[in-house]
Amino acid sequence: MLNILVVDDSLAIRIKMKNFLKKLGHSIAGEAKDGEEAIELYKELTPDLITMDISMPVMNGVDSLKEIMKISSLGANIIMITANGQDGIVKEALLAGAKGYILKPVSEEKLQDSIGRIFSEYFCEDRNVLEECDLGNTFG
Amino acid sequence: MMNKDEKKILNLIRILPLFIIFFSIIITYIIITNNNLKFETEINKLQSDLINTHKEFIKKEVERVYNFLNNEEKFTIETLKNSIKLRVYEAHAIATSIYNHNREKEPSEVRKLIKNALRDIRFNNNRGYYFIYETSGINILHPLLPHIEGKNLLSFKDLKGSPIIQQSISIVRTKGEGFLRWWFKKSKDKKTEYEKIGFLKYFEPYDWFMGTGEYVEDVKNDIQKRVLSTINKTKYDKNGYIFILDEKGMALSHINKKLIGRNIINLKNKNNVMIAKELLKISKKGEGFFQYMFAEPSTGNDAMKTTFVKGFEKWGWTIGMGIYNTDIQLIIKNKRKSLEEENEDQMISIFTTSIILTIILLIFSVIFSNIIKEKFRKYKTMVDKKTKELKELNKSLEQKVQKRTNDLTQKTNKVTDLLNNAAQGFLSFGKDFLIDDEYSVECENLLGKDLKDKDITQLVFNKKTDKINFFKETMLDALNEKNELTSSLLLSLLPNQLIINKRAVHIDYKMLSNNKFMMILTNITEKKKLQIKIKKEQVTLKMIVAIVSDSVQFYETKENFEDFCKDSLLFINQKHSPKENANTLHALLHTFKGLFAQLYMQNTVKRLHHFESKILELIAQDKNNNELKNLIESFDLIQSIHEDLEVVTQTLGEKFLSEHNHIHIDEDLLNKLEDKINIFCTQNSEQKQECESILFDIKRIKNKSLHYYLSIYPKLCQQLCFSLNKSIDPFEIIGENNTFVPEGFKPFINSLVHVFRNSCDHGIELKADRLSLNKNETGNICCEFKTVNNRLYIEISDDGKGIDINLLKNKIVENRLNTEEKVNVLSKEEILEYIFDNNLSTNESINHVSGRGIGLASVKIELDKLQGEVEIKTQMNKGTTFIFMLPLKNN
Repeated sequence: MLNILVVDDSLAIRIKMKNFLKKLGHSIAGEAKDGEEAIELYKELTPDLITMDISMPVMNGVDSLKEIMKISSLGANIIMITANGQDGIVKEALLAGAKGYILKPVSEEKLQDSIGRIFSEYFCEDRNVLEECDLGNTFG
Repeated sequence: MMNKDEKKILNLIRILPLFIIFFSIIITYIIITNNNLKFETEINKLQSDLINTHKEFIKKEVERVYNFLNNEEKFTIETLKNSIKLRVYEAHAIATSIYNHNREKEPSEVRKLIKNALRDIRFNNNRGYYFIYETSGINILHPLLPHIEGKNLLSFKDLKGSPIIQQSISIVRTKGEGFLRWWFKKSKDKKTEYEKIGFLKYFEPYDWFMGTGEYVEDVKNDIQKRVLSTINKTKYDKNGYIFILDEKGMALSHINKKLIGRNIINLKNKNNVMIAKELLKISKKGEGFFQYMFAEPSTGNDAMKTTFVKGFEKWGWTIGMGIYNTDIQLIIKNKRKSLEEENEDQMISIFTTSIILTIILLIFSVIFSNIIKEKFRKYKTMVDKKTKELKELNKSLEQKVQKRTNDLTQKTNKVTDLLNNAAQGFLSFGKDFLIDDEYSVECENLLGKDLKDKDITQLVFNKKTDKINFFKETMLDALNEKNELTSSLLLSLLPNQLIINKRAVHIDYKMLSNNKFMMILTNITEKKKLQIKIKKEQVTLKMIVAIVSDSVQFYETKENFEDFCKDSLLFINQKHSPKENANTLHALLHTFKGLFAQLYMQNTVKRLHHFESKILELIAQDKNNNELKNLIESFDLIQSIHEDLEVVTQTLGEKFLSEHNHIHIDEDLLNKLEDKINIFCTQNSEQKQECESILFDIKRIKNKSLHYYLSIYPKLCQQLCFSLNKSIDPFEIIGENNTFVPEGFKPFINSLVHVFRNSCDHGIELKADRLSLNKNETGNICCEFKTVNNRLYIEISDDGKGIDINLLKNKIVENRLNTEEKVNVLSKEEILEYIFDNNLSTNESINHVSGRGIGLASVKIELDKLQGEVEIKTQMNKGTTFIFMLPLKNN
């Protein structure tokens, strides 16, 4: 069971995320509505994992990620939540140290898959997430 | 086994000794000749050396004597000169002192005094005296010739013509003093001239010069005498001696004392050579060698004599020394002899050495050549052996290599085959994004031919530069990223589905170990098409379900729409503005659209939407009512629902649309109704016909047609035969259309499935079997029914192999249904009845169709329930026919 910090500027999304994560058997360490708050809460709570939305006011997901990576000694585990068409930003996040990304709309399966790739004990093999990712991708 | 080259080499080795001999002979000859030459030159050199030495010697001796004479002469002359100089100094001193002491006296007196003082002085054996002259030339004092005193002798010349007085004057004037030589007569001998040396000194007071002289001759004679005596004392060798001759040829010094003082001018030898004359000649010229034959003093024999003479011109003497060559000859002879001996010795030693060497070399060369030959042979055999081994090794190596290559090719081919047949495109590329050589065949199908070294991004993205850049950047980032998770996440950002050359392609990315990328392309066009099709079907299904479950709504909406379409034009009210009309129309369309959307009739919705937008367009363009009208006319509204209705018809059947006025009636109620009508009919016999018709109608409602019930069987048989790998002609149920059977018949008719199944399974044979029996490949099953006298006859027949009576008999006995004896007595029909038995089956095994034996039994049971009968006709290889008879209840 992981302690997860949920970061998103939309309350509805945060509720949805929390539900999914609870269903997967993890606990919610906290929630933040922008990048700055995320950094503060990270320092305070040191969660096992952060789900970070990209577009947020005050400070966006990528900047927040970079800050957190700086202050974390072992390397924080951050999964970016991205909308379609943000490929360049996702790449930047990955190169800055993000451990995964999930395309909106978020689903339980997508979360499980991303978490599984970081924490191998949660990895579920009989999942064909690929299909879903396909449809969300650019079509030539 | 030797070949030509090798033989040549060996021959060469054999010839070698001859060469050696030849060489040594030549060398020896050269050495010898050389030696001889050297010898000769040595001898000659020796000879000339000796001669030269001798010459040198005699020359030196002569020169020695000459120098001696010269020195003596000079010395004596010098002494003489000095003595007369001293004398004159003395005289000068006397004169000076007299002058100085007698200054007060008269000059003439002083002069007299001086004269007197000097007059009588004599020296040099009384020969020497003083004379005085004035520088004017006047003689002042001359002791021997007093008569010339006071006379001027300035112009006096000596015997040689020299103006000696003038010379003297010039000497004393320029130098003050000096020597002079002149020629004079000697007082005693007036005929001969003699040289005189004098010294003069200037006496300044009276401008005088005074001097004295001495005859050279006298001195000379003294010297000569002295010299000769010295020379004569010198001892010489008999054969080598100094001799001196004077001008006239008189021997002044000679080894032969007898000759001294004698004139030997006419001396000559045997060859009449005037020796002395010749010698004098030479000496007059100066010096030189002269060779002549003369008698050797020691032996008295004639021998070659070499003489060197040098002239001493001061006295006119000839100094000479001669030497006989004999001693040279002797020396040379001795030397030659010794050298010869030496030479000989040397020659012998050279010769012997060379012979020995030659022999040794010969031996060596023979041994050597043999060794070489042996070695050569050994070497050759070894080389041959090795070459053979090498060839074999090479061969086996080649074989190995070939095998390996084959294996490798096989493996590669297998892999290539696998990849090529995988129907997926596998390709790889490096950082330069140029496609590598090896790629699977499918790649060419998807991307085009000759892909090697083409830029993958150009082929896949087709000039969309921003996508290409993102692709390249991301791939390179993934390559450089050490973290595996990040790397794979980056790769996941790359597009997984693209349209390439009008095909939908799925792409997977993998990073290979050698800094290369692999792309796996899969053509999913068909899959996509299928997906689209499925989606479409889903929608269609939704539509059908919606329509069926909400059929009332469907019919209502459909009819309303149809009405609307007919009256569409009526909505154009000329009194209203186009906009108003359009809005009205639009509103209605919108409503219909919504209703159809609820029923999931997508195509209809689409068409209506299109029409809607056309209307809106028109309004925006501000058209008038007429144009609106035209638009409506041009748009075939009613066709909007056509597509979807087609689907409904195809799915649910035509009757669904047409016979939508179906009512569900409870069967119970219907039966009651039937009964009521029956009662009514019996009660009102006048309206019998009417009643019959009503009853018939009710029957129709109540009962289903037999066709309907049996209709499933043709299809069933087809399917069955297909699964059994047999084929039958398609058939239809033959029988009157309006034959109705009560529902009670249903179980029986259902059980007929077993009969059909049996026909297919046991009756109809396999194609091959049928052909071998000259039957049609495809079998024939027939189902016919007819109603006769309130009896329903159903006939099911096939043209299969028929029922084997004997087999049946056996089975009966086997299953203990009867005894054998009794069985044999039974008729065919009776036996055939047994097939309805519960457990009987002539099948060897049970398959999915039949064989358990239960099938026909259940038919019998149902038949019995309906009090029916059955008749079986069968013939081996011809077929079987079941005829069922069922009584119909008479109402």
